[in-house]
Amino acid sequence: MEEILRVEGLSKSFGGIEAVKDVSFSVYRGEVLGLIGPNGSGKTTLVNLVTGLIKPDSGKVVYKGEDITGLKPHVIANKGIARTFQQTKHFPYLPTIANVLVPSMSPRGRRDGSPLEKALESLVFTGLLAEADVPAGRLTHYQLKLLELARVMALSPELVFLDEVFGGLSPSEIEKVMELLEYLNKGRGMTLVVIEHKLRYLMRMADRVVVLSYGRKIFEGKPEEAVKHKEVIEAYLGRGVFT
Amino acid sequence: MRYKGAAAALVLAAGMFLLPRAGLGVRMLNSLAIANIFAVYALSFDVFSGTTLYLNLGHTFIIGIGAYTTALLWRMKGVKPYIGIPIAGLAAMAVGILVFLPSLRLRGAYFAIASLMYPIALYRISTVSPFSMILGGEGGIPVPHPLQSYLAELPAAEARRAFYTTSYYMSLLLLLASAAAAYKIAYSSFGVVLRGIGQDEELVEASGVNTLRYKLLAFMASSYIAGVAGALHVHILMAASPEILALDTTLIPILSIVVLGGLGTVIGPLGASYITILAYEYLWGVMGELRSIAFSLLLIALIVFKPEGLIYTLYAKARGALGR
Ligand SMILES: Nc1ncnc2c1ncn2[C@@H]1O[C@H](COP(=O)(O)OP(=O)(O)OP(=O)(O)O)[C@@H](O)[C@H]1O
Ligand SMILES: [Mg+2]
Repeated sequence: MEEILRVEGLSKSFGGIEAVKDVSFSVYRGEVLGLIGPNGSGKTTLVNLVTGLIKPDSGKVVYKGEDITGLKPHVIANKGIARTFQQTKHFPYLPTIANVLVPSMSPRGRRDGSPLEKALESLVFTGLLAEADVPAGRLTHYQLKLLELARVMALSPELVFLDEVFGGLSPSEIEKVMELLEYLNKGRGMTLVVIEHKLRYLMRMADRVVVLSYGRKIFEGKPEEAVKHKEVIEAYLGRGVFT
Repeated sequence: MRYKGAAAALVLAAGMFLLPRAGLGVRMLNSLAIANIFAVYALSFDVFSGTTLYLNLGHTFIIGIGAYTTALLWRMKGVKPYIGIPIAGLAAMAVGILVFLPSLRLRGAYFAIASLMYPIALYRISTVSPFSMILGGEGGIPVPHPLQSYLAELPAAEARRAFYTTSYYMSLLLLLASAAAAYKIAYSSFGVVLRGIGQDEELVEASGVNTLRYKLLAFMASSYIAGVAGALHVHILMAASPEILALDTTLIPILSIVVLGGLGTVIGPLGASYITILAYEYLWGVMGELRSIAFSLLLIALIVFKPEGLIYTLYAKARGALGR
């Protein structure tokens, strides 16, 4: 198994809160890795650390053998790491197509084909083509989640962090998003790190899972073993997430 | 549809070229020339600030650098305006980058506040010794009209009208060139990125785009146009004085034009410039210094009640009515 990303002893605190504490794990090319943990366990912070939005207090991020710790977000994105945002982000006053044009205008996005073609293609795959001219601010929550994925596609990344892409979606919408993710993984060869509370869905997709609790890694391994693991059960106890 | 737009622009431009033949007085021609210059100021402001929403309240500093560059070149080296004006644009761009680069990393209100300090500082500098000796103090540096030698050969009776007519035409040419450039920038994929920066800069960065690079390029374009306009402005006024840096004489009209026209729309400020400058000139006779207060109030009212721009709204409505 070829390692695509490795985090080594990553730590970050905000004031007194240790949001991420000495976390190490690897992501292997082609896999779907589940990143789970209760609310406030540091999942989003970890994504922010890897993608350069915030800088770690200590530790390293190694991508394809290169130390990328502390690089600017746009530099990291161009190396091939894309992400979606838990609180979906978009340019509300720009048409949907223009929202996708931004990543396809990046140096990485431009590598294969014209930015406009790339942007259109991403809209076609995510089923947003009909909304191309609509300002993104008028899209529904579901469409905004799709827009996040369209933006990811327009960057042609090798590794994608998906921060709760199922959040707030209905079961049938989740099924459609899962289909898209499967296409990105199998059809486009993207390695996925999926953050999700609802383990029911994650178990279906993930090859492996990493579990965080209070900023620490408490488990790494097969999903079916995770749900039997004592510490994991305790971390989730009473939260009703296994249902 | 695209050709229709271009055709409309051409008709409009032709109309503006014919205006001086419509029997306008020299006073009116002068006001229109100033309106053209202010339209260029507003467009150059809009190209950067209207798209990225980094409000450059120091725009008059950039304009001032252009104005004083051509004036100093003339005074010290006898450089002719037609060479001095393009150099002034380059100087405004260079000084602008040097001075603004650190603050381009600041976001939102911090950028606006920092930028406001530069014209205030330059205003002070230009009026206190020893700098006032070089920069001419309150009275400024006298400079020639760009077509001085041509005008000097005309009979006195014609020279006066020719002065204003040529000023009008020169400012109009600059306006048309700037409008074309501003439109190209604001409505291209480059402009999409700039607008993205204005709406969520973090998202642009996460999308793999170096926002500083885009901000810098837009700022350079904005500064070059503003510098050239500032230089032409002083040659038309025949003096480079600190007034061009001031809040009430330059910044408030520019902001009024942009807000009245619609931030980031290019076409809006173009139309708004005439209304604003003609009203501003007219109000001078009616209420003197109070006009800047009246305009500040108008500015606030517009921001509160019509943030998307009155002129642009009307324009969009008209386009809608015509089926685009
Ligand atoms: N910018 C910040 N400033 C201060 N505290 C922060 C900041 N970002 C995160 N935190 C804190 O760090 C901890 C981890 O937060 P994080 O958002 O990474 O958790 P999470 O696992 O993504 O949670 P959720 O499942 O609710 O999204 C929380 O206690 C949070 O309050
Ligand atoms: Mg989170």
